[in-house]
Amino acid sequence: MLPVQEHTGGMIDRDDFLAWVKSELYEAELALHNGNAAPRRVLWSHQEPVSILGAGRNAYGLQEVEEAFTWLEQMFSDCTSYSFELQAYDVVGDMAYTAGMEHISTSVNGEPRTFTLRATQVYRREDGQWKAAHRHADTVSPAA
Amino acid sequence: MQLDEVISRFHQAINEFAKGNPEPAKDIFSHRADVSLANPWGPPVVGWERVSAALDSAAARFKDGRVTALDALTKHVTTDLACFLDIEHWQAKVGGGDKISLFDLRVTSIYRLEGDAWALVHRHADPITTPQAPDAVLRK
Repeated sequence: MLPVQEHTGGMIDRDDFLAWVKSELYEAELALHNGNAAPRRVLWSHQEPVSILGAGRNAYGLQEVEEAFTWLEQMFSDCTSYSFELQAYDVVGDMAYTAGMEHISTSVNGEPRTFTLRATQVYRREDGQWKAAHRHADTVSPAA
Repeated sequence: MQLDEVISRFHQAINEFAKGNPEPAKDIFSHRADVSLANPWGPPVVGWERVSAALDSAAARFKDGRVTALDALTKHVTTDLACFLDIEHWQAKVGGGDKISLFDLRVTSIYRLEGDAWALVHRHADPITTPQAPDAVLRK
């Protein structure tokens, strides 16, 4: 069970945000690991600052983030499984974050791979829509 | 306390952490049920009891260390939630060794205003400093 905050953000905000994470954001991540970054491009902010401390490389600013998306979509194909294990999140005003683990089976440069990423993402609400603004991800070995 | 003061206190706290003392850092973390910590290696931990225990065991691995420099990369700040990206340059004796090791951490820190004080509600740190395949498993 995820803890419920009593004073921050409205419950409707939190419900709406989680629904977005589990639907649009999930679909965009699934698409990316099938080699299509287009949905992720839509869900990411087009306003600075944006940043990625990625499992593969860092990207600062809109141009480098776009280059990272292109690099990733060319690398990934044939995703057979993608799930996001949400561990912590909050929504406060027009900013939100998620922290959790991404369990991914996809092909990396044509070779099937299964890996788990620890992922932190930060979101801004822009014109009423949630947009990702920061991602930090790294690989983690399964717990011993 | 202002956000700037808390950040400054945390930078002092990680110096203490590198010497093996987790207490100043623990003062800055949120003690709520949704606090989370993704230290290098291993899955993230959630909840104050687990985060506190993880800080204790992480600090116990360090001795005679300090954070020699901190590069601020970018930040996202609102009235009640703030995210900072930094590279921390550490040096410390690690895991009981006698030799000082140098290492850099990429860090995402998320602070939340809790009552009238800012608290660190999430820290994600990893030692990736060079580009690598996204499925590369971290090796020490």
